[in-house]
Amino acid sequence: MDALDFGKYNFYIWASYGITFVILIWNVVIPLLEKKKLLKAIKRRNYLNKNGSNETNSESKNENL
Amino acid sequence: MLTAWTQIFKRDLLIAFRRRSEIIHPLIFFVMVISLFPLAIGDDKVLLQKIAPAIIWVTALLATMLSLDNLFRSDFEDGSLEQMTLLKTPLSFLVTAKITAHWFITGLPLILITPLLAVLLYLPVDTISMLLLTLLLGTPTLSLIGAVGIALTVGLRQGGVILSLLILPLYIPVLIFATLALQNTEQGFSAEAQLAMMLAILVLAITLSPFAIAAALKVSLN
Amino acid sequence: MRLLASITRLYHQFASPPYFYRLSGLWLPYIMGLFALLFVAGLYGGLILAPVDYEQGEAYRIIYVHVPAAWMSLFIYMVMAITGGISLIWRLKLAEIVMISSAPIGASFTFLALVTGSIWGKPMWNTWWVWDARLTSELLLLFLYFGVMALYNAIEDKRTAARAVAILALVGVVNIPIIHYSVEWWNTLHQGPTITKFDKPSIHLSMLIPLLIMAVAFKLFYIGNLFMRVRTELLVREQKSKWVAKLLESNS
Repeated sequence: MDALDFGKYNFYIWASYGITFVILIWNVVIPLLEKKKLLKAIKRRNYLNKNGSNETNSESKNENL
Repeated sequence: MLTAWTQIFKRDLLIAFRRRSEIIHPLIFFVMVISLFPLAIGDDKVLLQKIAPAIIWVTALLATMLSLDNLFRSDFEDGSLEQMTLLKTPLSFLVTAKITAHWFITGLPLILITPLLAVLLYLPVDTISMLLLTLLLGTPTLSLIGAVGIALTVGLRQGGVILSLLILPLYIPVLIFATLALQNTEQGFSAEAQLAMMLAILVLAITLSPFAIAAALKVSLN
Repeated sequence: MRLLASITRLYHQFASPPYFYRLSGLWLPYIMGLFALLFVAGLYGGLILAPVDYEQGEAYRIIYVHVPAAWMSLFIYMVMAITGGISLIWRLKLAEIVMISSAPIGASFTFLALVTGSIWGKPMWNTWWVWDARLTSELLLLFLYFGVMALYNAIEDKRTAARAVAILALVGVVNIPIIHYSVEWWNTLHQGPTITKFDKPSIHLSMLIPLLIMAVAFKLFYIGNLFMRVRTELLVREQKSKWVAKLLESNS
C-alpha cells in the first residue's frame, strides 16, 4: 500500500480519480433508473388498457339484461 | 433571383423604418448598459480606459442578441417565411437579404454611435479607430451566427433564454479576437493577425451560415 | 450484385430498432466487462507500475484520467456531429437517437477533463484555472454540449428536435480543430502535443501504455453507455409497437 502513497500529491490524485469514478458510476446509474421507470410506466399503461376494456365489456353486458 | 433579394432587403428596411423602436431600442440598451460601468466603477480614468474595449464589445454582443428576435419572428408568425421557402430562389440566398437588412438596422447604428460612447470611457483616438474596425468586421459575423440561433429557436416558447445559451459560445471567438486586437493596439503592437482572423471568421460565416440558417428555418417551420 | 444486396440488407437490418435492440443487448455485457478489465489494468499500470516523473513527481499520474477524458470529449462530439449529419441526410431514426444519446456522455467527459485538468493545474502551475486557448475552447465545448441538450429538450416533437440539434451540432464542429490545435497556434500554459504528433512521441513507453489502455477503456465505456441509453430511448419511441410488447411479455 506504500505504492499508493503519493506524498504531497495525495489529495490531488485521489480527487481526480475519485471524480472519475463518480462520473462513470453516475452515467451508468441514471440510465438504469430511467429504464426502470420507463418499463414500470409501460407495464402500468398496458395493464390499465387491458383492465379498462374488461370493465366496459361487462358494463355493456349488464345493460343488455 | 437578384430582384427577390433586393425586394426582401428593401421590405425589411422599410418595415424597420416604420417601426422605429426596432432600431432605437437596442441602441438605447447599448448606450445605457455601457454607461452603467463608469457609474459602477467610479470615475477611474485609467481603469475605464483599460476595460473600455471589453465593455463595448460585450455590450455590443448582448445588444445584437436582443435584436435578433426581429429578424424572423414577424415573418414567422404571419406566414411570409413559409412563402419564402416556396419561392424558386433558394432560401439560403434570401436569408442573406434579411440579415444584411438586419445589420443595417442594428450593427451599423451601433458602430456609428460607438465614438460617442468611447469618449464616455476615456478611450484614446487611435484605439477608437481600431475599435470601429473590429466592430465593422465583427458585427456582420454576429448577425450571421445569431441568425443561425434565432432560426433554430424562433418557434419555441422559451426561445430567448435558449438563444443566448446557443449563441454566446459561438460568439466567444469573435469577442476574443476583437479584444486581443484592441489590447495589442493599446500596447503599441500590430493587430494585423487578429484582424485577419476576424476577416477569416466573417468569410467563413458568410459562406456557410446561410445554409445552416435555411435548414434551421425549415425545421422551425415544421 | 449479391454483395450489393447483402450490404443493403445489412444496412436495413442494422437500422431497424428491434434488431439493434437485440444486438446491442447481446454485446453490452461483453463491452462493459472488457471496459472494467481494461480500466483496472490501466489504473494499475498508471498508479503503480509507471515510474515517477522527474519533472512533475507523482502528480503527473492525473494524466491517466485527464487525457483520455479530453480525447473522449472531442471524439464523442465528432460522433454526435457525424450521426447528426447522417440523420439530416438520410432521416434515420437510429442515427438521431445515437446523436442525442451521445450528448450527456460527451458533456460528462468534457466536465471530467476540465475538472481533472484544474486539479492537476493547482500543484503544477499553482492555479486552478487560466484563460488560455485550450482551456477556454474546452469550456466552450462544454457549453456547446449544454446547448445541444437544452435545444433538444425545448422542442416537443422529438424528430424535429433531432433535426434542429443536428444543425446545431454541425455548426459547432468548428470548435473541435480549434481545441486540438490551440496549443500549436497560441502560446498557452497548457502543455504542447506530445502524443498525437506524427514523429516519435516524446513520452516514455512505460508511461504511454497505461495511457493508451485507459483511452481504449474509456472508448468502451462510451460505446456501452451509448448502447444503454439508445436501448432505453428506442423503448420510449417504440413503446406502442408490437416488438416492444412481445419483449415485455417475454420478460415478465
